Order: sequence, then C-alpha cells, then structure tokens
Amino acid sequence: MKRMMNLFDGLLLFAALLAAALLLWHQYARPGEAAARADVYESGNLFESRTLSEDSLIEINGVVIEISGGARVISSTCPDQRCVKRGKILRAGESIVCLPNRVSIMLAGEEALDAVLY
Amino acid sequence: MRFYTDGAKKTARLAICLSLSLIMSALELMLPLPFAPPGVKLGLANLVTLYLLYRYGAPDALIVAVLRVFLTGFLFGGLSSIMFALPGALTALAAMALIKRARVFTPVGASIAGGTCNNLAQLVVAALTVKTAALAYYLPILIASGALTGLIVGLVCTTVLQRTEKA
Repeated sequence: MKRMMNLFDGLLLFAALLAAALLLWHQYARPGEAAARADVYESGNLFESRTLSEDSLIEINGVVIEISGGARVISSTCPDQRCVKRGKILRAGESIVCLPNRVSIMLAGEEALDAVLY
Repeated sequence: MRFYTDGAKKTARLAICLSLSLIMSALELMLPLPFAPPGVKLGLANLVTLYLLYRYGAPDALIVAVLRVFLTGFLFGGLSSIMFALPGALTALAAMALIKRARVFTPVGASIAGGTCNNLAQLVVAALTVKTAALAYYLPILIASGALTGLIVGLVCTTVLQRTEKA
C-alpha cells in the first residue's frame, strides 16, 4: 500500500484539532458570573426577557422553555432535538439555540452589558 | 486542468459521479449516528468532489458539487438545506483546490481542510440565520468532526484514486 498521508496533512489535522481543543477549553475555563435573566429571541428579535429568580414556562414557535434558576428546553417540534439535548444553562453568556424553529435563549448577567462572545 | 474534446465521455463521467454523490448524500441521511453529538455528519459526498478535483480538476468538481447540493435539496427534503449546504460545499471546494495547488499536501490534507471548512461555513450560515453568535458553542465539535471525517474520507478517496490510476 502506497503512502497515503504525509507530514503536512498531519500538521493540518493537528492544527484543526488544536483549534477545536482551545475553543473548548475557552468555553469552560472561566467560571462565569451567575445569570440574572433569560432573553428569548425569535428570528433574531427579542421576544421576551424573563428573570431567573422566578420559575416560569415560555412557549414560542413550538419550543417550550422552562425557567427555574437557569433555562432549558423541555420540548420542541424540531426534528433533531439539539436544543432539548443541550440541557440546562446557568451562567451568563450561555445560550441554547433551536435552529429549525429560529429560537434562541441567551442568559445575561446583571450589568447593562450582556456577556459578549467568550 | 484538462480539456476534453470528447464531450459525451465527459458528460457521462460527470453524470455518474453526480449520481454517486447523490447516493452518498442519501446514505448519510439514512444513518443518523445516534451516539454522535448533533451536527456530526460523515461528509461522504465530499468523497466524489475530492476525487473529481484530483482526477479531473476543479471545474468538473464544481459542477458536480453544485448540482449535488441542489438535487439533494430537491430530492431529499429541505429546500432550506440548500441554504446551508451550498456555502459549505463551495468553501470546502475552494479550500481543497487551494490545498491541492499548494502541492505539499496529499488528497488527505485537502479532505481534512474541506471537511472543516464545510462545517465552519454551515455554522456561519446558521449564525446569520438566527442572528446570534451563540452558536459558537458548537465550534469545537464541528471543527473536530469536520477534520476527522475529512481524514477518513481522504484516506478512502486516496485509495480510490490509486486504484483507478490506469483508467
């Protein structure tokens, strides 16, 4: 069997995996601040902003969101259910997105500035 | 890049490759890989694109790749899938063509780049759709899976290229 890969391919692969690893580390490294409210967006427009201190349910576009200390998607009409599988988010700057239904939930802290891209 | 004087031969060849890539797309949709995190696809269709790129050049690969994206959208549901798949396929092909030009890489390297770019482009389109940068959460897994599936597809394609050299 002839040689199929060479050193440069290996470097390229390594670079990609390294980038992925760095991004992953970056996501989890900082403890982050506790979130105070959840902003729910529909197609990029702010639909509602709920405080996390009270439990509540939001339903929009087929996505059912439970707010209780954090936010999670209980159910959704999307085929792949990635939003449901995401689980519960707790910290400012974290988010859940349901692409097919164009819904996204972002947690924001108490300052006027939301957490920007980590 | 080679120019063919025999148009019929080329048409037949491209048609077969297009059919093959459609079958690959269909296969991928039928194997959801439940244990893998969401967004992880095998990228089998890139196999045909890569083969065409290295065997016959970028223009042929481009034709089949674009047609494949549209036909897959028409046949296998989701005209909206075209919106994501097309930028993915185009950037992947551009990256693969550049890598091929660089000459120090093998098709495996091109495939790694192609797979990664495909996923990156799709994520960018998704982010523009929901108008939020929050999708960056998926970057690590998409880059890693894009690179790794690119590796596998690249190895398979290299085997095919080696075995069809006499043709």
